Amino acid sequence: MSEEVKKYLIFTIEKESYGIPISKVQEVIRYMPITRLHEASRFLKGVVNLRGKIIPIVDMRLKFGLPEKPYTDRTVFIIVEILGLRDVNHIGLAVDGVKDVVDIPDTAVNRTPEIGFRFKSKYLYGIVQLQDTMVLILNLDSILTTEEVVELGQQVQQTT
Amino acid sequence: MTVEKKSALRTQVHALNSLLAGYEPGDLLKGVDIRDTLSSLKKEMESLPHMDKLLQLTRHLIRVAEALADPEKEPHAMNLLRSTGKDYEAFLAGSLSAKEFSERIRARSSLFQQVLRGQKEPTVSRRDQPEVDTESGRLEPAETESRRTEKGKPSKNADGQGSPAEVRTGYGEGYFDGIVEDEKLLSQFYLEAKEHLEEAQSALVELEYDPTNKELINNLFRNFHTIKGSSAFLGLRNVEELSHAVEDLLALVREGKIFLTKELIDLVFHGMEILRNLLEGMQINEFRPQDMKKSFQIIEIFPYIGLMRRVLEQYKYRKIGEILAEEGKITLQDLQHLLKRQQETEKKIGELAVEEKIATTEDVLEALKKQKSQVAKVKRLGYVKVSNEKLNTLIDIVGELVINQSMLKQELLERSGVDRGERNISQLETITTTIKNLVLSMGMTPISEIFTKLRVVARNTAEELGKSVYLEMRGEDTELDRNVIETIYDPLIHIIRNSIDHGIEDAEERQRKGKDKVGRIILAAEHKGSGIEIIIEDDGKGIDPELVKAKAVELGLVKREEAEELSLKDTYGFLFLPGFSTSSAVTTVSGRGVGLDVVKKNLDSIHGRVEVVSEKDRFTRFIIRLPLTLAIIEGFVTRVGENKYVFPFSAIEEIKVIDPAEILASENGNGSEALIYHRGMHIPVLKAHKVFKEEEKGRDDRILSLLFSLDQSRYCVVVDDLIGKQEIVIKNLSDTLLQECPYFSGGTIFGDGSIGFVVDMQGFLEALK
Repeated sequence: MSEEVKKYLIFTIEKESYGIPISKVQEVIRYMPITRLHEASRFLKGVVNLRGKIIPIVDMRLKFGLPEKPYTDRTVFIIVEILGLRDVNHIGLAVDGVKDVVDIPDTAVNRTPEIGFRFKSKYLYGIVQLQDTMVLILNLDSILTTEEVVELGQQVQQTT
Repeated sequence: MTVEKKSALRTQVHALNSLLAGYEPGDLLKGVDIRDTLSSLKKEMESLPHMDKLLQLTRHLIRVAEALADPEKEPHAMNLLRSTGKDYEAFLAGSLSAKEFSERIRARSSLFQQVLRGQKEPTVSRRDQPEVDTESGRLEPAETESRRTEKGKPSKNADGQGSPAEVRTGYGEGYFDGIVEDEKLLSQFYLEAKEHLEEAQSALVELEYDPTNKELINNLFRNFHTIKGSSAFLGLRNVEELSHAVEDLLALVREGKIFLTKELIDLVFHGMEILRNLLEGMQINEFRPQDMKKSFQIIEIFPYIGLMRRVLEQYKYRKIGEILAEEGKITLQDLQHLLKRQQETEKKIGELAVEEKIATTEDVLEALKKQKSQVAKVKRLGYVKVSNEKLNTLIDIVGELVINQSMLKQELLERSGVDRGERNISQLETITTTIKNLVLSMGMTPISEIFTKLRVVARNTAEELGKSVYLEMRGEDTELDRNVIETIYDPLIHIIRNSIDHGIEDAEERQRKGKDKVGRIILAAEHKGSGIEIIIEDDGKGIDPELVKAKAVELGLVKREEAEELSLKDTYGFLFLPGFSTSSAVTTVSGRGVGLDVVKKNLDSIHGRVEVVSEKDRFTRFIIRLPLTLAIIEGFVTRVGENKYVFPFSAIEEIKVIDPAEILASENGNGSEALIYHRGMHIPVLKAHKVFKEEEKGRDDRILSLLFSLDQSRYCVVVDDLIGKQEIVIKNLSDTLLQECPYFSGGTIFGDGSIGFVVDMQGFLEALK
């Protein structure tokens, strides 16, 4: 059976690597000033103007319950497409940096172990080992449509 | 002829000619003026000797002027009046001999005949006419007129069946005499015509979506053409004339001279309805010509035919000379003069006007431009279909273009000494602004686009169910975002079909209830607050809330005890639950049902809300409230904390600068529960910072606030800075954001690229509760 190979965008937060299917990614843009929204939940930093579209920026560090870190030149926004109620929503993810785009065959994606990982497996699609790094493949739709903070990073740090 | 009298005559003739030159097709008032002037001219002549010939001619002219009211004859009548009027003037001025004059009139005799054919006999007030007619025949060199009248009169009398002009007010004597006495043929025609009408109807409905489809237009044309042909053969003159009128219009459409607008489509539909009535009139009377005639008498076709003619008139365009005269660029006398010259030289009026130094080249060019735009209006072809996706992208990109442009300008201005660059940049600015406005307007569509389609839906549904329904539309020109319009189309169809199917009772029942036999549905749209409200109201049997409650209890949606206490709003809310609506029990009992859950789902997807209000046996009203996603609003831009916030301008009553000393009942000195007494009212002072969680570092001496009026209550909203009123293009904020901040209806991007938030006042107030 021919195995399906998908491309994934690998980005980093703290020292961890995460992957999301490239088909979800519209583009990666450099950091640009954010119009802050104070009233929004903590990880929803504010909005940016991307060529006339207003795009909310979710800080993935905060979303994963990590301490806030000031944005640097290395900070990038990954603009992803999320299926909303009505149509496709665009959301920007603030991450520490992007690393690579890699081909990962479906068979290489290991299911998340139910035990040993305390975080909800619904936020994870699977785990992939790339050389010596472990990449967590995220289930973006469920991460971004929930209002709760996904305690992901911390858990991973503990397990590694 | 005394000199005095003669000059009086000349003045009259001159006045007449000015009137004639200023006449526009369909201008009934001017037509009456012309007739009056002619009458007084006639009186003047009556008082003079040796004027029999002119008097005679004038009497005819009065009748010609009467023919102006008949759109078909109008152009000819006008030509006649204008040319004859000029001859009058020339004759009185002495530049035209009597002989030449009569020759000219003779040359026009066929035209006279044509115009006067079938024209009503002069009314009682001019009963002297016949005598003079006979008299004039004997009198001196008046042979021209006498010949003309002799020709004109017989044809008029011979035309026993009456002529269009005569029939305009009703069916003339013997109008229906030509009907073939063959019931079989008539019934065959009936079936055939019905079929053609069916075909025409479906073609027309499709044309509403695709108005340039040649094939459909041809089909439509053929249908009416066939009906016209067969009805003429059978002597059904009313059917013939009616279908002829429609055919005339369609012929122009087919030739590409007119664009088939929704108004025209409606007009054709209207004609079809009358045709259908005529056909029914035949069938009801079992095709017995004698009885049919009686039914036919009742059904008026002439107002429609008249209307059709007037519509066709509109699609003619005006001449350069008329435009110039109307603009006051040249006087009417000049125009007369030019027209005369034109006959001699065959040059264009515009050229002549410039040659004679009557008008400047610019004026003529301007008039030419006007004429061209009229032609363009007449044609109105050349629509291009663009996908919504492309359009949306275009709107976004253009927004970005504007922003980049202004940033570039800023940068250049900072570097001094680039004069040339500055000029270029301001030119660029003009261009981008034009593009922006154009593109934005492309995104907006008047709601009439779907209202018209709904009219067809209503028409078809009513027909299917054998009910008669009148659909009244209001606020069709309310502009909405194209995307919103597309999403609400299906829900509206559902609601309208439901209203006709289950709301409106059949005719007998309505009569029993003392209602008008024809059901009435109101479809209205208007801007309300920062959104748009669409109302669909029928005057049918309404929804009984008790039945809805009973059903809800039965389905276990609410406990029996609780059901009693449900508000009307909550009760009707059940109707939108899936499964609830599809229940046949509700459909038959309360009369509402299928698809309301779908309606709600569709509206939810664009942040729209729907609500029902009803009263048993009186009405059911659906109120749909839509946000102005992507629409343009008048907004008042303010700064609160570090961000810009836009308040809907429509709700703002005034800008109020509050002196801290004015604040009453301040509980903790911070003004969190403050009131002011202003214009005889106690108005709460609300801090916008609290809702937006912005930092407060307001100045103490002067508090800037906006005074809002909402649902009869007033509020002062304190902001940090007032930036000003602007046209705001509302951008969608993503769902994620709106969930968090329900007090925003959207966002916007300003010229400098910064982002502002558009405040939804309802949500804003709720956030403070």
